[in-house]
Amino acid sequence: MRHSDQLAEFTRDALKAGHSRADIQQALRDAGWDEQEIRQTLAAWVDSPFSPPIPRPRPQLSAREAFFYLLLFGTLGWSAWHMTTLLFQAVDAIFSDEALRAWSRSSMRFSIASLIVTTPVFLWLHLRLSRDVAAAPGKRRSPVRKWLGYLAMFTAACIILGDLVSLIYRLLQGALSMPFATKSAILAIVATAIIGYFRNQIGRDDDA
Amino acid sequence: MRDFLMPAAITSLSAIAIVTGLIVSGGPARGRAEMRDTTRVRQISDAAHHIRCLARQNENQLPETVAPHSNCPDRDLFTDPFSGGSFTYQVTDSRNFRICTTLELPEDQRRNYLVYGNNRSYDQDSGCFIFDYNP
Repeated sequence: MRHSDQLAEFTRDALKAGHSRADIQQALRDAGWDEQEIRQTLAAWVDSPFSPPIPRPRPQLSAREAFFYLLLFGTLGWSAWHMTTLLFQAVDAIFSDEALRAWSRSSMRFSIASLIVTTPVFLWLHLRLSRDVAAAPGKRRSPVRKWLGYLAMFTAACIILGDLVSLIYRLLQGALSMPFATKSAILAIVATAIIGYFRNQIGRDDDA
Repeated sequence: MRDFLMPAAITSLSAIAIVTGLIVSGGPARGRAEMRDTTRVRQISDAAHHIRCLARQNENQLPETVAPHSNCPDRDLFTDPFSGGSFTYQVTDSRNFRICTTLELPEDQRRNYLVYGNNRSYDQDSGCFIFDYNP
């Protein structure tokens, strides 16, 4: 039997036996269980005098939900990539005396086309999923939503760290130029917006 | 409101990127002009091959005018495929010739759009492509 199963079984048996939540909490604390584990295991049961104890609905992974969340994350990732690429090339064009190369213009047009398609799709998916969550708050506990959210925040955080390191390195090397600083700022803004988006989404899930 | 703030920020960033990109790269009209110029330059390259073919038939002398020859099939390479105007052919010396046309892209931006072969270069002032002939 798994560690968490033992804890869940004990909690259910204790509630069924009529012990108060405070007593169960104290008993588990005395046994060395972590405060968060105790809180989570008690939160899995509805606080009601009804016996046997009523389990709260558990998060479930549905293929439909996974499809929508993967599409949301995919479109956001695609948008962020092309947003950054496009603005980087615009910076190159603005700060350079030379006219843009043919491949640069072609690449910019591909990025524009990508953004025209992916950004509205991302926005539509966000609104749709927000409506779903508002109608059924239990969906906030979706594991795919949490995992993808944290993965996106991790990636964005790594990008910000890398961005800062290269900015400071360039500064120390005496090679910090205006185009480079502008590109660093663009990268930081896009990555921060992504972190902000997921913090707003997942942060509220954690509160739920 | 809180739910919409960050998606709105991301969408705004995307809109800024699109507008900036369109301003910098040019819109569809500019894209079409690039395609037309690229086609013209490709056709000029074919015309130069044709001139070299005629020169080989002419005892390795560059021809003064472009005339049809049975060994060098003429594909009307000296007519602009879009404007209907003509490309101009000039012999500059025994080993060099030029083919001139009017391109649409602004002068300072042409060079980055034209792919040059080993023995082809572009004279921006005259709008002529310069070729050499080494028998």
